[in-house]
Amino acid sequence: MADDWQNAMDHAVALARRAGEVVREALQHDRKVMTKSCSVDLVTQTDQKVETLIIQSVKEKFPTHRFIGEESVAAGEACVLTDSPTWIIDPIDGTTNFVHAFPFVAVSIGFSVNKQMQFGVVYSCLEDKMYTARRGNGAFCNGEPLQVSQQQDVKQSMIATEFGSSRDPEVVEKIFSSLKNILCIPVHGVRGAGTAAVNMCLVASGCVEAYYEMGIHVWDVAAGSLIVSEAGGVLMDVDGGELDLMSRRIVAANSRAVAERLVAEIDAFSPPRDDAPPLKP
Amino acid sequence: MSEWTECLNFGVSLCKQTGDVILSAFQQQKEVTLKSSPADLVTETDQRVEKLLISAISSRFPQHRFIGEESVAAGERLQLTDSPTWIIDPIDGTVNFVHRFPFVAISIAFTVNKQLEFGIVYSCVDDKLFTAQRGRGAFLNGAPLHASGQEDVSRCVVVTEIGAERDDLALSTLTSNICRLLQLPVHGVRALGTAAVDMVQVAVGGADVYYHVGMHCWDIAAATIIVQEAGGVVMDTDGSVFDMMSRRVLAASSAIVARRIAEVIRAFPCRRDDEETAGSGV
Repeated sequence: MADDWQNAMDHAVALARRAGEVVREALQHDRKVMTKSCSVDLVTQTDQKVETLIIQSVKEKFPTHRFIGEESVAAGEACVLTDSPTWIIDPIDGTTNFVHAFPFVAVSIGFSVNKQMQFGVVYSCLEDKMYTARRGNGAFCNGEPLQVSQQQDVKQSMIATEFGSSRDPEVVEKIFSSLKNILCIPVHGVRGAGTAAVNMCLVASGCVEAYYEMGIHVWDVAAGSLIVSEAGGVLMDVDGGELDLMSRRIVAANSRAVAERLVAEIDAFSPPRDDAPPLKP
Repeated sequence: MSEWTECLNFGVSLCKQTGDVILSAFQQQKEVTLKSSPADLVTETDQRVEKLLISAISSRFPQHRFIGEESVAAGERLQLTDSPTWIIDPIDGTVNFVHRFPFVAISIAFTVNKQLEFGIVYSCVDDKLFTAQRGRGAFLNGAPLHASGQEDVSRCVVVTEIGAERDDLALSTLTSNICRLLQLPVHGVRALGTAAVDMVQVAVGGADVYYHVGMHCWDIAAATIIVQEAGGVVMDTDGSVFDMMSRRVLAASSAIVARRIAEVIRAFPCRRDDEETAGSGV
């Protein structure tokens, strides 16, 4: 069984690299933009092309495996995590960045079995950084082992987060009150590269002590979650409970101490879950 | 003027050398001292790099003057005169440097008669050299740069920073600015942790707006001319003419976008960089 997952992981890495080439090439040309849930929730043909490329290739090699892909779900596929071996795919995390050629764009591929992450691959394709983690085997960037920061004093910490694509005033209000509370701890600073997957890899790399966000999706953080935990980090929900990948909320940190301190300051809200039945049109 | 080109080339070669000094310190543990707030950090590397730069430049150009972040912090008077003047931030992104967050830049601007003649921003970790000389365009590692030209604010990516202030008025102003921008809406807001690297993203075209309240002249002087030479505009956050000592800046892909952003953002009072202070101060 373990060999199967290693084969799957090697395939995922090769696919992520190929997808990264497609993304880099597409950046040279006009990036035709469409919108999804609102005017700032962007998608492009490249998102769709990359996801199709990945799913088709995986289906050929692993015909019994299942998929949760961002663009497939947007097209109406169910978003349900079962015990089956499941590929959780974000073809372009950081689509807004991609549209603008702002330099952080990642391909994110996570793989779960019995609802537990077995490997995660995040390829930050403009920086050519391949982040990987295999359950029990550590986390790596371009082959170098990753370890979270050892800084446990939240007042000496740097935090990554994003403002997200919701423009609902109540949601925005909670995002900003959380941000202000955290700044006032005080922390050293807050950063935002524009992609959840890259932000999580920055936690795993030790560049920031924590990342938190409300409003992300399972495909944004599935792969990154294993990379963080294999680098020695912790994961939890923004209310301090266990991480629920379908809840659209996450805290990823170098330590329980920092995570819990942030949780105390986050003004939480509950976006509609990724596995909620779709609303009738 | 060819003599300023000579200065520019000298500045570039200095940046590359001191970039190596910064990179070798980057992976080490750092001794950190606080300046104006618990988030306003300085390290021995900041101070060492600034001394290296000033001493090398003064040996070559003994008549030239300097405004350097760490010299000012140590009590030197900050005054921009008509003399050829080098405006230096030895490490823009010191908090990033302390955390090994990979955006750290040397920023060197050069003015004559209080006018920017050239600017250099060297982002050391990703080896990106941004340069511009007045009237001669802007470049990244030798390739020409062009701002995006975006005129529709609802399609803009905005880069900004919260900075080192932690008092109520500053934080409320800064966060409510971002909140209002998101509601315009704009496509998104980003923060890389260094004013210089943030601002040159407008010159690159990857971002359409950069604004900041509370930074200092040495953070943005070089990036200002780089953005302008890439076809972008630079003004005050209230839409008036850019004043390098005001501690406010707004850079954008177009005047239309800049003016729209200026309608939305507010500043909080900051002591001007060129204001006389009693004793040494920030």
